[in-house]
Amino acid sequence: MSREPWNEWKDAWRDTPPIDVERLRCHVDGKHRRMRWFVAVEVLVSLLVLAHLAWRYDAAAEGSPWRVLILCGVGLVVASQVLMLALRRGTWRGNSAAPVDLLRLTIRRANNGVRLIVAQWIGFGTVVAVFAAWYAWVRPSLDAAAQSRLDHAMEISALAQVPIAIAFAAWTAWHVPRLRRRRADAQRLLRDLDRD
Amino acid sequence: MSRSERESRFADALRDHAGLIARIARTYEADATRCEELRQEVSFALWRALPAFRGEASMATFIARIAHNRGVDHMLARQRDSGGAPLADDCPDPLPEPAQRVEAGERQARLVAAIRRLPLGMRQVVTLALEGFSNVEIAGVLDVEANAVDARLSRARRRLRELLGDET
Repeated sequence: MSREPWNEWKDAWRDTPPIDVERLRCHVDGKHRRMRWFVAVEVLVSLLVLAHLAWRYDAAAEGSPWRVLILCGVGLVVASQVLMLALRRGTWRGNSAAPVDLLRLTIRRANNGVRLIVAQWIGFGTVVAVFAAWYAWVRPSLDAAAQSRLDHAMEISALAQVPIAIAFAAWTAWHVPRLRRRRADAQRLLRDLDRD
Repeated sequence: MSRSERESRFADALRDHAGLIARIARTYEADATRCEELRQEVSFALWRALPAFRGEASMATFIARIAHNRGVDHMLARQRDSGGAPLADDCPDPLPEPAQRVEAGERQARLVAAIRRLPLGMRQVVTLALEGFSNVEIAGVLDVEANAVDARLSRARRRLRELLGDET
């Protein structure tokens, strides 16, 4: 057989410098605390928005088109919060899966990430379309003063959307290539594993 | 699992297997600061994954799998961008390395550097074998056939011999 110094390697390998376990625990405690705070603030903000929408809904006249818009808003807030929580849970899954499965999961996540961005653009477009349709439906039924107030509100709202759309486009241009690179790297590592 | 039970199991697991985490982390990251970050990532992943531990395998194999997974994830992140999160300010400084460990440290550093040059599959197998896991346990951690572990390990040992031989 070979004169391979396996036992020497084993000795060298096991000779680990002391690890500061307290430091590791401290880091985990801090990270866990920060994560819980972050989720709590996020849920609190959503609840505040929902409370505000409930108050606006109550203040609007029965049968008013505003109520339809407010209900759409409630649906959006609830859906986005549920989506965020689901995505966050998904981020932590797979820690104890086999490495091959984790790489496959990484590829799936990268694909889903790209799809999610496409879905967000579709969602953004849908919100704009719903808003425009609602505007076209409601405006003719209002008197001149109310029409003027509505036009002004729509103008402000439309202007507010422009920087959001620009920021989102910039983020998309930065993030999608990163996701594709991550997918390519994971595919390469997976091929490495399969080849071995 | 109650919170106190989870905290106690986590503390035990970290106390007993911090060395395992550190050794595996070293095969994925050469830079000391980033390696410390990777150890922290593995520890946090362990905390998150603990409720999923059913005791079907040993805690060591459970942690080894998590450590390799975070290592692969770390590799992917490093390939994507070279930035890293700063260390938490509210944690104490790492322990200093005593002078008498330097020689042993150099020997280990050469071995780890050679392991880092192996393809991922060989690297994972040889790391676990050096940890003293049996081929069946390694197959369980990596979710591959025991025969594949045999083949990979013998190729990895041959390659390591070449790499370490080249450097002497």
